[in-house]
Amino acid sequence: MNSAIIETHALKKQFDRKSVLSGIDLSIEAGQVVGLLGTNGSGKTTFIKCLLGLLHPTSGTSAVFGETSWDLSASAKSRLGYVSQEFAMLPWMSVRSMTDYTGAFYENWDKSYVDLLIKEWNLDEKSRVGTLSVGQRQKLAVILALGHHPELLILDEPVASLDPIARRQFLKSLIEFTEEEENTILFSTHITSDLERVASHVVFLEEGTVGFNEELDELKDRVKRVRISGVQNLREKLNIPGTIRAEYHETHALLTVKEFQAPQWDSLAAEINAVITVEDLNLEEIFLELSEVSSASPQQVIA
Amino acid sequence: MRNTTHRYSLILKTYERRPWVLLLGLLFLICFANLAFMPRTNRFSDLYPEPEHTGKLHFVHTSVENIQAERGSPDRQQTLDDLLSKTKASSIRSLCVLRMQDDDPFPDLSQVPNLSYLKLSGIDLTEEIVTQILQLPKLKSLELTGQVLSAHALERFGQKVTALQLRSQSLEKYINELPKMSAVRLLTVEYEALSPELIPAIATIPNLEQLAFVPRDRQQGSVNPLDLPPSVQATLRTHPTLKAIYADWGNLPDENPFENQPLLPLRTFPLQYSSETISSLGGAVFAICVLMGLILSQLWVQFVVPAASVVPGYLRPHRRVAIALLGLGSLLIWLSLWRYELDLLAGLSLVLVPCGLISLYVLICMIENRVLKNWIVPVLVVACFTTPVILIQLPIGAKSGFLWYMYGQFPSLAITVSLLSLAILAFGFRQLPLLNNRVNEKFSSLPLLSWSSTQCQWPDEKQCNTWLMRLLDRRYGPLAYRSRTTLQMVSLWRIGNLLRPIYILVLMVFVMLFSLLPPIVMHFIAGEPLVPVNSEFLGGIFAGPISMGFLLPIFGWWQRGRSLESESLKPLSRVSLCKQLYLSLAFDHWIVWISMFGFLGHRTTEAPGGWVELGGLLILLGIAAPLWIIGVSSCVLIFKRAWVVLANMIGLYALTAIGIGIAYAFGTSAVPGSLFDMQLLYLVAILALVAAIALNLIMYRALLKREWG
Repeated sequence: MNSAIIETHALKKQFDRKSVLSGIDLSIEAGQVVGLLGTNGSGKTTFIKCLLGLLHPTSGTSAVFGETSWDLSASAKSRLGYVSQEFAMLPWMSVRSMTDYTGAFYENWDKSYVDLLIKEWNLDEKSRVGTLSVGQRQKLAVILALGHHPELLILDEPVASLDPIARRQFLKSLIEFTEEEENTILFSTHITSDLERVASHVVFLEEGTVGFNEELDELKDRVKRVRISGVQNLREKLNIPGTIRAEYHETHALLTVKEFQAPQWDSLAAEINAVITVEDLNLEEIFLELSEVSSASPQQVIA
Repeated sequence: MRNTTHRYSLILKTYERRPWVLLLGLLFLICFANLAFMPRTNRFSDLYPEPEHTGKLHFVHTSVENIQAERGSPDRQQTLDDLLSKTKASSIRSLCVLRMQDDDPFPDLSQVPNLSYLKLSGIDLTEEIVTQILQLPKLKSLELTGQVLSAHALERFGQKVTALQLRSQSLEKYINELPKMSAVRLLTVEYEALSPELIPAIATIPNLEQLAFVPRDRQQGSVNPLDLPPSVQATLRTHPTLKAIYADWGNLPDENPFENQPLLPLRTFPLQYSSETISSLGGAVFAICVLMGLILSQLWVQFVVPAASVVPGYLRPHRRVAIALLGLGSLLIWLSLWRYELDLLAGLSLVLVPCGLISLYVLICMIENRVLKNWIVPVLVVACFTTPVILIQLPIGAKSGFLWYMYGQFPSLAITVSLLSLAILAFGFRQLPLLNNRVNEKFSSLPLLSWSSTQCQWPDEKQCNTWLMRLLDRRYGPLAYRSRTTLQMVSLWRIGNLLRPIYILVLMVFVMLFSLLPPIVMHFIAGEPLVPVNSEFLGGIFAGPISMGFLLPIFGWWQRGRSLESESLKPLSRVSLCKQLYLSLAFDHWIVWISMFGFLGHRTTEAPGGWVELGGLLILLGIAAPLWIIGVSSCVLIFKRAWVVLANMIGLYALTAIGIGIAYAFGTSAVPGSLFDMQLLYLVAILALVAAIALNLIMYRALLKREWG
């Protein structure tokens, strides 16, 4: 049985003649927390909007809860929550009116949960939405997206304007959201440390296509930094497939590899008579390394 | 120097990059080209005072000849009895009686006791007829085209009516009665040749204020000057109450008609003006308003960005560019007025006054003081809506007075007005940067346009027990889940709009009361009808709410547009969402519907075609017109970019204007109330209805395809 909550196949989107998504194949299973990474302009927001039916794909298919994104039914929409990048709301309403107003559209709106979040996140319910700071509005947008306990939460850079305390609270809420109810989250962000806390999977978009899509732990096991200290010049000796970046200084070398396999490196160390130290990379470092690859010319990458 | 030039060119490019600004710029250039280069024709407009009729002017004949009208309508001619069989006698205020046969009996005017205007054409006034006319209690204006009057008739009419129009022969015959015409304020004399004694005799009418000499059978644009010897001029000049004389003074109509003023301080006006000159005044004001709108819209965008307060020296160059563009545009319009022989000083004031007024309005919008805001703004809004009404009501003398000003007869006033406008404009431009502080620190828009404290809180259950509020606004109540019927969902969507109907309703009542105040006062002072029957007047009253009714939903939904991306993900299918949004927009046009029906209700008193005509009007104005307006307004839901919305709306309303023009062209030859007239009305109404339904279907289908992201 197909348990995919989100499924896209050869999804393409063009604006006038500019191609933003050039064929995305992706499947997100129920219960996954997926971080969407990519440089600016890589198509993250466009992809999310196509998933939600806010933009019509130029070609390809996109489905959420098994329904075509462009024609999502009311019941499908009642199962998803969305926080947009702009989090535009009705500025003349107070926080209380805004939550009540949004709640009036949902049958299963949890007012007590919303009240709890408002209190926890220190929002003044009498303040007008238009007078809230950017961070406060972002908090309110997240609360509005969580109020009906969606099964799928899609967040487009939801924490960019939050202070560290609010970000912690937000992440705590997300963890509760997934742990207690086994819900699915897709969120794009540039704050990779947050992603590392909550994400189970990572999708990396580059130039409108999926660069990679895998479990976060697998990714971290796979991409490693290797320091090599030898007795002779290493430049000519180390022509290793899967190297993302390489720096050489006579008998020393620093490599980043995307397919790390320990036995292979042990045999290499013996072969060239060198000492090899393997370092783990955090997600931000992996992101930077991979981004540099995608922006570098082929000659700069040692294949 | 190079940097400065570069900076100014960059600022100019910000104008070029906004299609909305380019669209307004194009509109301004079209207006300017029209003013400056449109070839002049020899069309002239009459502008002199005549006895004015109140409400609809009804025509009756002394008898009905057996002549079929042009399009076979038997009711082209009617007697007073025919008229009374179709129209309530008490509603007839103005009547023109035309004689058909010499021996026709004169109709019994006592059946129409509310007559305030009477015109008798070709009727010899016997003693009996004069007595009957004098018994009309409310008669104020009388126009006689016959020459035969009984003795003392002139004297008796002159003691009853305030406005009188008749032939010079009638006056010459009873010249000794003129000093006894104590009630007459306006006298319009039609003449072929004036005897030398007549004008000094007219000068003996004790309370005369306006006097017009109109040559009979004159041609448009021809010159047939009135000759006034110096002694007669002296007599007129020394008249204690006389203020203005309208006559042919020998000036060519396309020249300045006020070059010679031998009778000053008495004002002498011509009988006609060049039509292009008159229309150029409105054209110039419209062009300047467009230019001002363009510049303010751009300054708004430039001044509300954070850079306006952070980047040193940001404001000044932007302001200079705006002033330079405004100056250049104003100069072009001002110079284009030159070809219409208008006074340059007065022309300058005409160009500056709209700028000054718009600037003043923006300044008032920036007022933060609650008391000032609550008092000045409603008065301004009401003034905006009632100005057209007041202008319609202006006596012809005031229009002539304005032309007197425009032809340079008040140079000192023109200088004062120009300087005052310039001062307000300069002050406005100096204060505009404050926008930045206001918008970024306190409000999300201009203080005046920001939400009020009462609008931001939704009432709880306890507060909702106010029966009056519930009566006025059915949606007034605590928010709750409403996913039941489409109408309930529509009402929920409409709650999210800033524009609350209760406030619009109060404003509408306010406008209506303000507009109806003058007739109410006149009812108690002069016994005028409480409900005015002047359709221009009522049209003016309804024009305000109708325009407000179709503008407010557009602004409301435009403001809502930003949040619709998130809101489109509310648990509704695409079809339900589009249906509910479209219906919400349609329901927000309720003011248009009420105003249209109010106007139709008024027409019940004077539709010549009776209920048949009202049925046609109901389809045309009550259903097709509001539907068309809703279809046009739906552009705001369908398109994302402001200039695309505006361009589509302009295009659709231009199409409407063409349609109205075609219908009007066909309708001019039809006799009001005739069979052909009714057939044409129903044809136009049904075509309009079909077009309106088609437009709404097209727009709805386009909405279904809209990308909300």
